[in-house]
Amino acid sequence: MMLLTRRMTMAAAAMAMTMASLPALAQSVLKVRPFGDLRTLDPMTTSDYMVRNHGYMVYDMLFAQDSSGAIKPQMVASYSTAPDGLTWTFVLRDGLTFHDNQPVTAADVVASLKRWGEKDGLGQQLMAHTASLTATDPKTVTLVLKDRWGLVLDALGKPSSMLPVIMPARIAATPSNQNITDAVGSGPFMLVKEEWSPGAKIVYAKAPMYQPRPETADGLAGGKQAKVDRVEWLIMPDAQTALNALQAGEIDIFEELPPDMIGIARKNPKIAIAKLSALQGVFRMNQSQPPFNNQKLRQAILRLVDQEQTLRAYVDDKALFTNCPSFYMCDSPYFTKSGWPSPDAAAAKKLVSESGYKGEKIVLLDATETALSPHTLVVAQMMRDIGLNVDYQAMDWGTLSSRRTSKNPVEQGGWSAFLSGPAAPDMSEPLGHLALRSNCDKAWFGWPCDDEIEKLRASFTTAPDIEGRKTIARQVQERALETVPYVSVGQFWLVRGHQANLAGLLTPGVPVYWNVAKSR
Amino acid sequence: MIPYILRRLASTIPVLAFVALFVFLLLRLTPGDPAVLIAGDQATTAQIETIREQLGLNRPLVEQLVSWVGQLARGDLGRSVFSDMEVTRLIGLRVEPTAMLALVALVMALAIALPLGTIAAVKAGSAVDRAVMAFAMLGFSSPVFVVAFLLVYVFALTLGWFPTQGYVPLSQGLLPCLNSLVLPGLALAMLYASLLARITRASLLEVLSEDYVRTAHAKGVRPQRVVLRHALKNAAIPIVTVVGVGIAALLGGVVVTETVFNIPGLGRLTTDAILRRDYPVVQGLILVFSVIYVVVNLLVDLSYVLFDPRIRY
Amino acid sequence: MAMTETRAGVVEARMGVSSHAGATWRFLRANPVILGGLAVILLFTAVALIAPLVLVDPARLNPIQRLRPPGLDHLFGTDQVGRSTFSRTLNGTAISLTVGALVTAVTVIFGLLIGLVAGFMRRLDGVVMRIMDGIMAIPGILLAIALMSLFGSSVKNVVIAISVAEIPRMARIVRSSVLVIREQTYVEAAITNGAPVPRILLLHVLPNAAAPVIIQATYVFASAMIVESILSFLGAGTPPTIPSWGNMLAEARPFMQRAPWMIAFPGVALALLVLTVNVLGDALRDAIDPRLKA
Repeated sequence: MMLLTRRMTMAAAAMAMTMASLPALAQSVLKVRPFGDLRTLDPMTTSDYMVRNHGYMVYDMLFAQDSSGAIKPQMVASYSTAPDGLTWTFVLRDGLTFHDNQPVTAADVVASLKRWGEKDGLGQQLMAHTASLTATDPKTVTLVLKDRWGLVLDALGKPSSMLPVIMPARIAATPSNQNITDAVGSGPFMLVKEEWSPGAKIVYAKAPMYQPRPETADGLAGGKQAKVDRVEWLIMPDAQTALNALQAGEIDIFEELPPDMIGIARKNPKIAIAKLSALQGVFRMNQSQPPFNNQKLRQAILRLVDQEQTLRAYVDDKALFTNCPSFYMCDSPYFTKSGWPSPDAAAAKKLVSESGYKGEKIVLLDATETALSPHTLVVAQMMRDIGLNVDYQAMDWGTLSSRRTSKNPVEQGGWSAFLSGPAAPDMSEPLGHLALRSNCDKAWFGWPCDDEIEKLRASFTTAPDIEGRKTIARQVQERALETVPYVSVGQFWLVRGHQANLAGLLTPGVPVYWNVAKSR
Repeated sequence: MIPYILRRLASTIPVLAFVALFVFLLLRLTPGDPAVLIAGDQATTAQIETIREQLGLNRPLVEQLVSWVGQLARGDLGRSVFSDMEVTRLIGLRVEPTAMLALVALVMALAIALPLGTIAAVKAGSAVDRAVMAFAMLGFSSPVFVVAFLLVYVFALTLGWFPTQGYVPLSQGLLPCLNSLVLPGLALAMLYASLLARITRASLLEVLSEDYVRTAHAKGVRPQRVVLRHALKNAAIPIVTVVGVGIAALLGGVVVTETVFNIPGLGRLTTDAILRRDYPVVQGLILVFSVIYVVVNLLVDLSYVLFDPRIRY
Repeated sequence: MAMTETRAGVVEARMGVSSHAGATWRFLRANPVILGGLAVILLFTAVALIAPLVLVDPARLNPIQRLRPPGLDHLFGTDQVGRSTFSRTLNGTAISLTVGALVTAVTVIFGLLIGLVAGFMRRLDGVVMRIMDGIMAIPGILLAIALMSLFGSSVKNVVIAISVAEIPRMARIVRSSVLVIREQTYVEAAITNGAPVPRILLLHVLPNAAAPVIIQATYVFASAMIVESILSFLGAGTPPTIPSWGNMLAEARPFMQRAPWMIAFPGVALALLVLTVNVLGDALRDAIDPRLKA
């Protein structure tokens, strides 16, 4: 063994000597602890947020959303629409270059958009309305629609997955049911593939050939200037480890800092905290099976949940949660408290006995690694306190998201309730609302079914003005308080922690790392 | 001696064959459909079918075994379900941190245990002896992650002497690399050092009571010399044996230590792969760890020849 | 796990403990460490039995009282959802003891069975021991996590997974005891006299193999509790709803700085119990094999 040890030490020393001769240039490196791990390199085939974020590093898009939500040209220099509204012409900016130093041509754009249009929901709609999409010359793309369709720019500047990114035509030729493996892109950073180690780190280098727009960065739009030489995504599954690393200056950014660590991070003058995105906590009940097919019992839960308690289980800091007695986000234009009952356990208990509940098992699913797990535990306790027979089942999010698709009875792998945290854009108005939709089988998991809500939602699009829409939003809420498609457990923020010496950190809801500079 | 080595080499074959068989059966004999397990919770039926075909799960078991052995012989461990990378490449990327960590832990353990164990044996029954043994008992009874937390809290967060997490590759210099391994190495070495200190003490005590040592003492050889030259050398065999047997504990400890310290080695790959149900990776890792274990023990056996001239084969 | 072999190996085939009650008492009187160790383990057992009866429900949540430091209101403080760390730590004793005891029982039973068969039936010996070597070639914790990931988390599966990793070593120790014992004249005589094998095993071999088995059993007990905590810590152990110390430590990890008591109490309890069992094992070995006593 000693002999072995000696030999290995010698080998190690020899290795260290050869390695040490490599140049160690003074490069600026931005070290980020992302919230997950990168699974594939293809932002067109999956809605996975990590892959989307990778897409923003490596690729550019024709259009992008600015901080006000407007769609602005990105790779496009100018565009025009014919008076009939059917023919769209896009002219590419000068000097656009892929990471393999080949110019970006209109043919590349057409190939990329066609591939994206096979997979993405909005992309499929665009393609369904499209008569032709062609490269009329190396810098011009022409889109001819079959009929008028108002969402062309929204589709091409789609902020979240799946992204209409522009890649070389040879890579876009990969069938859309197969992942691309070549990450040559059109964006501000290049993937350093040799250093990619799944589960450990993903490394990006500044793309020297990338031409940013002259405007300042704004939201996801504007000039995407890489102000560091390298960005390293360091995968750290354990949050405490990541916090230690942030405190010790070993990482620059900690995405989705758990709320209980915020206090510690605040005490450190070298660390700053920024809000990342707002969520609404949704307690979702399965209406396809007993006992929550019983409306009275759902009303009991609505009366039971005390947001003050559920939110405090998530975070003690009042600045990071809002007790929001509404189906709509509290800062959205359609917010209304109308009809929302005050929490009252005794009243809830009375509703339970009126409902005829006879101790049927309530299977409550909890994805223990998510932000909603504390809420789940609290609601479970509240339910037990009023005599409901709660079967709490702990699992990971992957398991939960497959379990919740089941409409089986609870004895056969079904479920009664789970909690989830959809982001603000999905929870702000009746039409796009994820959890108010009550179109039976087509509704989100839990499958609420109510004609009246559906009629109100349909009339929302045709209302003449904002006041009219507000009235409809209020009516939807009042009706939903009877049918109870779900119960809100409160509104709260995800946050990111970062070193105070970072400048230009953008917060468009998607974590992006251009425009970020490190100072000494 | 050469026949002995050959015999010893041959004896590893059935063990490795068993491990390979075990790894093969591990997945196939589980309750439920292995393809569903591998594909994960969000997979479509088509994806499951693809995996079933890739792994040949719809062929007879014997046929599967034959092709699995064929794959192994070609050094092909399949592809990761999570990242679609070759398992061999994934493992290759993770070898350096683990090798360095194990090496550092081993050296630390020996550096702590040999002197402590020797002092305890020489001063058997004294307060020093009892203190050393109490320390060993404590180190041996504390779960490795509790030790790790304590070390991070004191030496990284409070005192700021060492990094709290992560691994600096050798390519960035030997010293930064070693610096990043001090705390994880120590956490891992603790258990091992406790064990080694006890064995060193026990075997030295035994040797010290033997006739030739007494003779040496009687002949007026200096006590340090007696311990270092005669006694320690003869106590080496049980110590080396423990190094070999303990390598299993060390490899197990690597899994925990790398997870706590966020070291991108084989251990963290293991926990990640298991939590993601990335079975091709799990299988590959079990094989690799087992081969390491078998090879280390082979080397240990062969090293007996070095330490004990009385053993001739 | 690995370390225990050599320790117990030293005393393999040594004489057993007398079974008479009076002799046992005299033995304990002569070995106060063993007496003390047994007393502490009895104390832990008492806690495990009484805790669920007198303390608040360890799953009882109180989000308003979350992350409170230890004090008069909350003896050991509260965790991230306001559960009582005192109640959880004390209730966790039962899980650790149960896992430790069950793994020890399963390991002893199967270890004896396999070891006796291998030691006595020469034809089976080679095959059986190669299989045992094969299992031992896989690091125990790794083997346990792999099994857990396949079978899902439950206390039963934890016991099985840890036992599978522990049985080979026990079998090996039993086997080597048997090999020594069967060379003894009186056993050889019994064999030549044509006594049936089960009778020989029961009458001659088993009592004489008892000592090393008992010593190894104490180490299995200690090791099982540690492995359970590691499995739970890595997320592949007892289901997260059960307040096992490993689960408590895993949940406490993100609160290491904010609420160090969440780690301290279960951590100390675990180390204390394991330490006691290990000290007991050492004392037993010293008592049975005085040669190694300092």
